[in-house]
Amino acid sequence: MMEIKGRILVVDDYVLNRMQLKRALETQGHTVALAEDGRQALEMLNAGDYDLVLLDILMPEIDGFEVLTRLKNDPARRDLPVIVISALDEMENVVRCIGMGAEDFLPKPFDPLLLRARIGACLEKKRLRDQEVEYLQQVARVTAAAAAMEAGDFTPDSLDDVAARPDELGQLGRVFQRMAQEVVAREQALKQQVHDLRIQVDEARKASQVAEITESDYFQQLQSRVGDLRKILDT
Amino acid sequence: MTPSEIIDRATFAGLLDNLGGDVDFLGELVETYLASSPELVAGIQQAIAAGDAPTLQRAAHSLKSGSASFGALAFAAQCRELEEFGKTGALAEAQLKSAALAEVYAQVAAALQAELHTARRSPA
Repeated sequence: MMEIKGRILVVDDYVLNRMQLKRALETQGHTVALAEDGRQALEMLNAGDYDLVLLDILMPEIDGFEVLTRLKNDPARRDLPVIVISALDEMENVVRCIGMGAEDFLPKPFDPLLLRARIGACLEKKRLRDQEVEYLQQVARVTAAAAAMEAGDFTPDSLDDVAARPDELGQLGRVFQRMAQEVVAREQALKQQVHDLRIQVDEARKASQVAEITESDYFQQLQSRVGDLRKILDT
Repeated sequence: MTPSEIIDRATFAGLLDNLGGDVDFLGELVETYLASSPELVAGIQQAIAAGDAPTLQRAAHSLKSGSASFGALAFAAQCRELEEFGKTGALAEAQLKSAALAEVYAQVAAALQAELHTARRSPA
């Protein structure tokens, strides 16, 4: 199975840990960004897009607990996986962090094989979760399209990305899109027919009005007078 | 103590192995450790003098982590105790434990440089 590569934010106030983790992660093909403390980490998380955070606990000012709390309270980032970096003699902190929503922990000193395994498992879980979220969002798009269809403001290309899926949902999207396009096309044809009929009716009405006038006694008299006048003028 | 008693060779070799045998990068790590540790040692002593337990805990924590990764296990254990004193606020005990900290660190630094020198001369 191909290993997933990710954008990883390493948060550690100790330069040696940052250096070692950066080196190990880059060797494994990941893209790495470094934060020297909790404050910088939060700024970087607000500004950038990451797949995973490796988080030290004991840091000045804003520590790992605080960073974790803020991440888990942020609806936009609460699903971002966090692996806590910790010495084996700090298990109580690790347990607390996992209770707060951290995904896993990585013992110091770092073992590259364990690092690879935990990062890989975490990124795979994130990939599956992202897929599930995307699936549910696209299901919601199909139901919204159905509501838009009923309301008469459906636009067929709003389902293009759902229809592009290779699975059953994609098939549903394609069928829905095609049927909707047919309904829209039929509606447009009916509208055109109604428009054409209206023009014909208008023309018939005008013809009828003209006939009504030309067949009236008054019109006949006028026409007769015009004839008489022409004769006088011709003589 | 001899350099081999100060630095656990298996741990040091394991670190080099984890770095794929890259002695140059190992050298960078050692240099960074040697550049940052005197400040941490001083920070520990200043924190104890100032009665600042959280700073003691953090400085001892970092020094423990770096020292352990190079195999300076006895020194790391001493730092671990200081970290614990910082955590519990036992500053009097920390004062006693840190008395010879700078001297022990100097031994660690010298032993580490010797180990690095040996690693640089060894065939990859």
